[in-house]
Amino acid sequence: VPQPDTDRKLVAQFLASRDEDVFRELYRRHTPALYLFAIRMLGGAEHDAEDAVQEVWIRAAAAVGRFQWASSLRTWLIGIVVNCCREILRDRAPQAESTQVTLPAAGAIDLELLIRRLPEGCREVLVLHDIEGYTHQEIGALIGIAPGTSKHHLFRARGKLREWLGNKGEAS
Amino acid sequence: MNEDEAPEIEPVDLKLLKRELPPPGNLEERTVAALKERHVLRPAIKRSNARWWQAIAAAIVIFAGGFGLGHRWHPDSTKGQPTFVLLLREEGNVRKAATLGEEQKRVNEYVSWARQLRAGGRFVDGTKLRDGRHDLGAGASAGTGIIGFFAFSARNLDEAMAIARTCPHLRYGGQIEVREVERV
Repeated sequence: VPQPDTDRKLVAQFLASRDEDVFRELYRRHTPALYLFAIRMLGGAEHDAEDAVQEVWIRAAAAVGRFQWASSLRTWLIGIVVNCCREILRDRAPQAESTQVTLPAAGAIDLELLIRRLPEGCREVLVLHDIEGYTHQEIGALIGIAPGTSKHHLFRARGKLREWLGNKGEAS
Repeated sequence: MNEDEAPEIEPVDLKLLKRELPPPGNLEERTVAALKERHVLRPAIKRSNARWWQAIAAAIVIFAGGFGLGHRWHPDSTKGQPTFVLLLREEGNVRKAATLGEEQKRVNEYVSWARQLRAGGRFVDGTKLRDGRHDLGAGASAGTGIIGFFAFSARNLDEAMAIARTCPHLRYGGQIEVREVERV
């Protein structure tokens, strides 16, 4: 996880200079995480994820002067990724939700593949909570849902994964 | 649903999943190009020149701050002398400082130049412009950017040009445009 102090310094430098090299440093610090996050949000569509990441930086560069540091820069950027990915998904032709998952041979189960097949809302919350480590409160603020809704999506997502893995999860 | 009442399921172990993935190499270039198109990114300045630009900013601050205290520049307040504006252009054939010592020398030169001019009793002011150009009109993107200006009084254009020629901006490949302010 990038050091917040370094992010603050780089953002201050960027705002003062709009220097290309400073931007590239910010880009390189955060893009590998944003890119993989976007791929997951978009169900594995790498080209769409590239477009999303480019759009994220365009929006971020325009808006970072108004960023108040109420969260980390990474969290703020993740929020922009969520919005960009949602717009891309909205523009896509509607697809029937897949409920049938053909699992690969035991031992070679591709968790990424299973995550991609989760319904959109469940997938967002699972990735944010179980992979990125955000709390339901933070997720609620990030994607504009109530924390309880976030928890419900997580319940459904985990349940689906357990079901597909042939291991119904036990309520805890 | 109340968060406390929501059911829970033991998470699938996702620890082995990656947290990062290097994007395709051309994505960075595409993104930088898109930002430049929108004029929100300034072309890269060679590291060794970065402090030079800081020096320009510092000199402008000395100009503006030195005059300060409620007596901001106005073309009618030059006691009969014409006022000239010295525009500092952003681009030019900037010569690279070979060493850190040379960089510092440049910084000192700008600061010293601004102080001398102020000490000479010149009516001066200056402003560093904020980054980011916003062009309008056909062909408006042509030409180089202006990063700031100094305004000062001089007896005539010859004297103004003589002052401008002493600016360190020129010595290192920067560009200056001198314009007389027209009083209306």
